[in-house]
Parts: sequence; C-alpha cells; structure tokens
Amino acid sequence: MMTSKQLFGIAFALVALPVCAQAVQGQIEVGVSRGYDLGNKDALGKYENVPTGPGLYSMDLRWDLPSNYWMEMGATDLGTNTQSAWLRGGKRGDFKWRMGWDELPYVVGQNVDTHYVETNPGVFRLPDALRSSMQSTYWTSTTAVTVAANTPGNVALGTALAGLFPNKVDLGTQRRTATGGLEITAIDHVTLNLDYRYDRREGNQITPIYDGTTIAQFAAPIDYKTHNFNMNAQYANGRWFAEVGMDLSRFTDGVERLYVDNPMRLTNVSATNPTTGAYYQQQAAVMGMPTAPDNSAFGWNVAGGVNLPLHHRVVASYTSSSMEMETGLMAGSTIPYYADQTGGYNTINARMDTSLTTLKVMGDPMGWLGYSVSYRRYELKDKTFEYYFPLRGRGDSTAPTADPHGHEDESWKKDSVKAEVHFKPMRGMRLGAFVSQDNADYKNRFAEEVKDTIAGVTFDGTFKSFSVRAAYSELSRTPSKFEEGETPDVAGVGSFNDQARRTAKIYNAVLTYMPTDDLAVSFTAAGVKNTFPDAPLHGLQDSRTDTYGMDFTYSLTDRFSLNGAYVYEYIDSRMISQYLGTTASTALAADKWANKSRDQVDTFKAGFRWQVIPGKLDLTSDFDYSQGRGDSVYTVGSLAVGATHSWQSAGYNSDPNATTKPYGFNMANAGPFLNQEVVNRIFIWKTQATYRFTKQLSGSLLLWLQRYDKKDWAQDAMSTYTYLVDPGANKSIFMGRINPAYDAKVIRASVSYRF
Amino acid sequence: MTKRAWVLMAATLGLTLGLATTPVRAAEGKTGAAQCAECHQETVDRFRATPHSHSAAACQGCHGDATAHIAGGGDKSKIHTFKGLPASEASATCLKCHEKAGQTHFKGSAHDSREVGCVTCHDVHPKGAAPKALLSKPQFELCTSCHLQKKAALMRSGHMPMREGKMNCTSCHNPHGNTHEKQLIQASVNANCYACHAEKRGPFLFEHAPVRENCLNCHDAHGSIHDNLLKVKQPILCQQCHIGTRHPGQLHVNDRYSFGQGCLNCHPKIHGSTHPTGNRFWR
Repeated sequence: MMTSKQLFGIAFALVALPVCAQAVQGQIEVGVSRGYDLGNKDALGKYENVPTGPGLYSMDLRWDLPSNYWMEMGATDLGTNTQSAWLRGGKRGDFKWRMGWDELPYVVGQNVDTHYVETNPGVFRLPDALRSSMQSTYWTSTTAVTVAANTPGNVALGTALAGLFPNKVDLGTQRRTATGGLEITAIDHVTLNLDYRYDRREGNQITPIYDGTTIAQFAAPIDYKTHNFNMNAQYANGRWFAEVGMDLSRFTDGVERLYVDNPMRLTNVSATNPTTGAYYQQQAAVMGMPTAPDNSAFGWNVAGGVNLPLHHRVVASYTSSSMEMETGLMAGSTIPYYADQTGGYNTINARMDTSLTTLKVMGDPMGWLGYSVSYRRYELKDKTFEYYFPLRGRGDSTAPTADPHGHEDESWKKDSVKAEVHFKPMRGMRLGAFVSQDNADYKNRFAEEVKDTIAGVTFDGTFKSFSVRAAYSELSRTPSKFEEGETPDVAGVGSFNDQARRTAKIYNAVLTYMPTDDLAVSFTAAGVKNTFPDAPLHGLQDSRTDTYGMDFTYSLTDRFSLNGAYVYEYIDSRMISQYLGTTASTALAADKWANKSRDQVDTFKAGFRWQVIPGKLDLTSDFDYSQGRGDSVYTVGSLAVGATHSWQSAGYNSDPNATTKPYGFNMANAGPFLNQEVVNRIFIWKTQATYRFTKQLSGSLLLWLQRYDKKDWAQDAMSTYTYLVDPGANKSIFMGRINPAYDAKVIRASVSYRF
Repeated sequence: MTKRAWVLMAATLGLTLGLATTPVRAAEGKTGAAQCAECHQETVDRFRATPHSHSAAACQGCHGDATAHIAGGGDKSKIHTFKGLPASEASATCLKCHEKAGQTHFKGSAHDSREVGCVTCHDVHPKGAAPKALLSKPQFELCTSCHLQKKAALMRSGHMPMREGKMNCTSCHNPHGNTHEKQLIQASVNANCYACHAEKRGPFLFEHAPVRENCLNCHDAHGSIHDNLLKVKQPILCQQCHIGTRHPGQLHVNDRYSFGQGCLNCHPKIHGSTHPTGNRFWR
C-alpha cells in the first residue's frame, strides 16, 4: 500500500489540475490530521483508522461531457486502511459503468500475548522450554505428580509460564474489495446489469484447538478470496414486467490446514490426572485442524408479473442455488488412528441445493380496500453423499472410540401462506390485518414438522400535525411431532428453542409529532415477548426484547437547529437446567439451576447546526453515547456449589483480587448470585467549524473525541496461560487478549475546494 | 513508491487532465423549464442540479402539461401537484419511468403498502448539490428516522461497520421491495450473510442445523453488546438449546466453558466441520 505522503502527492495533483479547468463539478478536501491516545496503534475502534499527517479525506468530482456522456471520480481517506476510491461513467439513457476499491479493517486486538510462533503459514510452534515447564509443573515422571493441580490458588503453572517467550501479535483482518459493474439501458424497456466483486480478507483470527484435554488458543491465519459475479436483466413494458438473473461465487482459503504444537506433548509419554486418576495420552506432537473449505455457489432466478385492471397485480418468482465444497481428508489431522476413522475416504465433497418459489397476488380495486395473498416455499436439499465413519476421536491425545457416525441429511423446507387486507376509512388513514402460516418440514431435527401461525394488525395514519405507524402481531409455534422419546422436556435432550413450542407477542409503533415546521418529535416503541411453555424443567423458558425511544429536531432560528435522541433497549432471557447423567435417572433436583441473562443499552444522541456568520462560518457538533451492560443472575440448587455435578470446583481460585488470572466468582449455595457484568461504553463527540473564504474555498477544523472501554468477565480474566480452569482442563493456553480501550482525541484541519 | 503506484498515479493524472479540459456541458435548454423558472426560479434551479434535468420532459415529466396552469395565471388546480397526495399516488408518477432495476417490485412492497412512497425518502428538488439517488438525508440517517431501534442497535459495541460509513442498509436490504423476506437482497438470511462471509457457506461434512437454517438464531445482525454479534453471551447462548447430559446441562461460570470463547474453546467449528470426527465440531 502506498504511504500517506505518496497518496497526498497524488491528491495534490488531482486538486491542482481541475482547479484550472471549468468543466469539473464537485469538491475535494485535503488536510492534516493528528491523533492522541489512540491506544497501541492508530486504530480507532474495530473499523476505523485515524490517518496522521497529510491526507485526502474526500473527493467527489463530476464531469458532464458532450453527447450526454458523464463521469464521476471520488475517494475517501486515501492513504489509510479505510481508504476507498471509485470511478463511474456512462452515457445518459444508454449505459453506466462503475469501478470501485474499498478497504475495511477489523481490529480485534493489538499487541496480544501468545506463546505460539507461526514458523510457516499455518504452522505454529511452542518453545521447548515452555512445554517442559508445563510438564514439570504437573508431573516429573509418568506416575509422580509434583503439584496438585486442584489446589486452590495454585499459581505454579502461571508463574512458570509468565516469563517464557511471550510473543506479540495483532489480531484482526483487513478486507480489500474491488468492484466493477455495467448497466445498459439502451434497449427499450430493458435494463441489463453486470456486477463483479473481488473480496480479499487477510489477517488472523483467534482460534482454539482442543486435543481432548487441552485447549490452546493461537492466531490462525486468514487468507480468504471470494469472487462474486452477478448478471441480471429486467424488462418492463406496459403492464408486464420480468427479470432474470444469475450469480456465481467462488471462495478459496489460501491456508488449507493448521498445524499446532501440542502444548502438553510429553517427553514421558503418559501421566495421570491428579484428580481423576485418568490416564493421559499425549502422543501427538502436532495437532492438525482443517480451515474453511474452498467452496463455490451458483444460482439463477426468474421473476415476472402483470398489472391487471382495477389495480390488481400478480408477481411470481423462482430462485435456485447450489453450493458445493470439496476437500481432502487425509492431510486434515494428526490424530492417532486417524486413518482408521476416515472410513476409507481420501476426499469428501458436499453439496446443497436451495430454491425459493413465490407467488403473490395483490390489489386495491376500490381505492379504499386492498388485499394481498402470497405463497412461498423455501427448500434446502442436502445432496451430500452419505459418508460413514466407524470411529470418533475426541482429540489428538485420546484413542478413538467406537462411535459409528456419518453425515446426516440436513434437508428441510418451509411453506408459507400469508393473507393481508387493508382499508382506508379516510384520507391519510390505513388499517390492516394479516394472518400467515408457515409449515416447516425437517429431515434431521428433533421436531419433524414445525408450524408457525401469525396474526396481526397494522395502523398507519398521517394527520395534520402528527403521524402514527403501529403494528401488533402474535405468533404461535407448534412442533407437530418430535421424534419418539425426544421431546424438549425429556432428560438428555436439548430444548432446541428454534423448534420448541413458542408463543410470541410482537409490537412496534412510531408516533411523529410535528406541531410546527420547526419542530418534529418522534416516539418509538418496539418489542418481542417469547414464551416457551414446553420447557418447565429444561431450556429457554422465555425471552423478551423491548425498545423505547424518542428523538427530535428543532430549528430555533433559521441559523440554529438542535437534534437529540434517546433509546433504551432491554433484552432478557430466562432458562433453567440441571446436571444430567448419562441417563435421565441420574438427574437430581438439587443440581437444578436457573439463569436470567439481561442486557440493557442506553443510547444518547445530540447535536446542533449553527450558522454563526451566515454564508461564512458554520459550527456543527454531534455527540453519540452508548452504554451497554449485561449481567447474568444464577440461582443454584442446594448441592450445586462445589458438588460433584457442578463445575464450580473447590480447586478454582475464586479470589477476585487475585493478581493471577483468571479469577472466578463467589457463589452462594442455594441462593441467587450475580455473575460479573459485561459493560461497554462508546462515546463519540465530533465538533467542526467551517469557514468559507470564498464561494469555492473553505477551511475546516474538526475536533473528534472518541472513548471506548469494555469490561467483560470472560475476556478480562484471560492471560497467556490459564491454570486451574477446572479439574478436567487445568492446563489451557489462551492468548492474552485484552479488551481494547482508548480515550482518543483527533484533531483535523482541512481545506475544501468546491468546483 | 511501487511501480504499480506510479502507473496508478499516471493513469489518474491523465484521466483528470483529459476530463478537466473538456468544455462545460451546454446550458440546459429543456422545453418548459425556462417558462417554469419565471415563477419558480428557486425550484427550477434546484431541479437543474439533478439528473432529472436531463430528461426531455423536464418539469412536465412529473407535473404534466403546464399550458393551462400558465394560462390560468398559476392556477394550482390546472397542474399536477404532489402536495397532500397519498404516497402511493405520488409514487405512481415516479414509477412511470423507474419501473425497472431495483424498483420492479415496489408496488405492493412493504413500504408502499404502508404509505411510504418515493418522495418520503427522495427529494426531487434538493437544496444544494444533488445527493446520490436524490436521497433527502444520508441513507443511514434516512432509514433510521423511522427504524430508530436499529439506529440504537448499530451503536452497540458489536456492530456492522455502518456508522463508519462502510456499509449501509441497502447492503443487505432492498427498500424498494422484492420477493424475499424482510426485503433482503438474497433469497434467504444465510445467503445474504454468505455474500461477505463466504467461508461460512460450506456446505460442510457435518452441519450444525440451526446455523445452516438461519444465522439469526445466534447472531443479531444489527448489533450486540457481546462479541461476534451474539444475541446472548456464551455459554448461556448454547445452553438455551443444549441441555443434554453432563456438561451441556451443568452450570458454568468459573470454568473452561465460560472463559475465553466459552463453548467454542472446545467446539470451534460451530459453523460446520469437514473433519471425519467433526460431528461435535471439535475440528
């Protein structure tokens, strides 16, 4: 990528030349920017980058050429990893073409600690000394354990690992997208459209690998390339209209496999777990993991319709798509006995076909009365060969078990019928009612069929000083049949809340009040309340989302206007569960527990526009603040804490003030306790002064304050090692990902020239 | 500077130079507009800055023949005006020309049927420079003026890059309607997501059924306070369905099922696996 100085040179040239010409319209903005307290690097949030030094912030130029030809050229933030540029042109009434380039960063973490070193693409190694240290912490021979792994407050492993070769790595990806397209309108009644998009994502993502006992996180490389091509044509003439299209997509991953050092590979080939006495097998030196498989998709669609007399209209469409994947198997794993598990397949491929058929008839023959009736069928057919595998391995470190399994048919389809009627009793008012039914049919879900019935009403009204839009509906979901012995409330089976019996009440309303031309105030309410009546003992019982908000714009004078908004969101879900043994008979009431997870978000927005000196000096300010907080309240059974069937083990360090990580939560027997909260706050305040020197030339000064902080009990506790996570996995290696936080200040001065 | 950068710069400069020296388009001389300007100068000036000004019909393309209106000394009843018209009736004028491309299915669409018409979002006579598609506000601002809850959701910590200007509502939805649910551009929610997340498309040897059916079973595309746009924090999200024997039904707050990536610490291939022992999504 070019440096910002090089791009500034281009930008300067771009400015200099059009300034001398009269043909160009548009504007160009160049300037200089400086950021402070941006954190480790120049990333501001997940998707933003603050350029430092000179830069071209925006450009939007247009040329109207002879014979109805035209051209546009634009760019934003050249020289940064958020830059974009485009070029468009065409001839009015005949054709348009377009080309574009866009970049988008996705920053997950910067300077993240990891013990792994990527020696080759996709190959991750651990220093031998680190592995030896881990082993000597837990055992010195095949039988003798030197440190009890479940001792509360045990920090031996942490101490041993803390100083050993931590490396720093940036977590995140950079997406680069090139687009091109052509639209031809030269043929009467016909529009042809061609689009191509090339999308490349490079970087890495935090990835865990599990060997049956050990979890190891590392920064798996990403090298994704996607080619998308789309072509379609529309025809409209009089009452008839039609369209036809096709899509082609090809995805490839430049990293086919990942090979990761087994952190617990023993010099001595075996040892026993100090708690359970279970025998560890750690033969695998390297653990293998397949990455996202290369795949492709092809689809086509047709649609058409006719406008009939008396405002009736019929529309039908059919869309068909096919997805395919093929990948090699044998190189995919280092699991011992792997060859025995593959069922003799060297490669596998998978294919799924989808289709969507729709038919809609609608009309408003009398003006005050209208209707629509529609039918839809979405179908997914799993065309994958019925692979069969005789053995299953839990990971690299344990022998496979005789667990015959194979690919299962994931086919399903859904038929939907919807009818709607509305009438307009007076000008500006519309009342509607609708009912719909969806019937889903599954090949491989616990419920073979699921029926959704939805009925609702709508109200829309536009009156002299206010308008109202409101809707209310109720959903009733009924799984018509579960496979024998597999109902949501039978021990050992999940509740599968996307299939379980459900009732829902859904509402939304917007009231906009405009008493004068200077003031507009809107009030919003929306929500869904779900109940799952088949889950009295296990699973999700109910969930709810509610949103309430208001916003306003007010023009105090011709030169000064205010705007503001506040939205409160409430999202909660309640579930219940209990420890179950391998058979339902082992369930104990004392092992019951319940959870209520709740998120609340407050969002504020405020701003003003002020023409301080009309035609000369403008001042604008925009303030955004969002505070999200989530918590989980648990209620546990009398035997749950520290009991056999709970993972709240005595061996866990539950001292929240512990200097070593992670620390846990204090829990009380048989009483509710609050899991630590997730809190994140985003504060953005941009204030800009713009002074117009001439009609063409203006200068701006932008002050941009942005603050972000996050508290997340599941992430904050992590470091590059995690000891005593629980008795079953007391030697995990995580990445030391710290939630990003910053208190950034950005100052930008720029000059804008309008042609 | 790299060779590619030099080539890019030379091409850009050449293009700029060539275009910058091209004569300005001849002044607009459409029949009718000049006459309209005699009384409606400001409106016509705004109109002239828009692509519609290149239409041969000019003002009369939408307002109809103005002869009687002019002869009547500006009699408003003698010309087609849009003020006070129901949205669907006002839209009918626009759809005479804009009946193809993305607008094919506008009649009877979700917006049209609720009296959200063309001029609700588009301004035919905008002040200042004509914005793209003549939108009356920037798109994100425009859509969220009604869908306020979506504006709030997109301010959450986990969000699509919309407030940064890298996506907009029309990246996923066609506000003019189509035959798909929620006016999605693709035929299903998942197909929409695969357009950018093709690595999740598979298909896989072992599929996670709720994932294959609908990404929104676990993710809130409009924003979440949890990582990866998850609707509920791990491990509760998984436990709301998976309450089977042993560890799925156990309480997890201080263990490997809850820290880091929660359940995905051991089941990272939750979107599907191509591994022969991947039916539990371990590899």
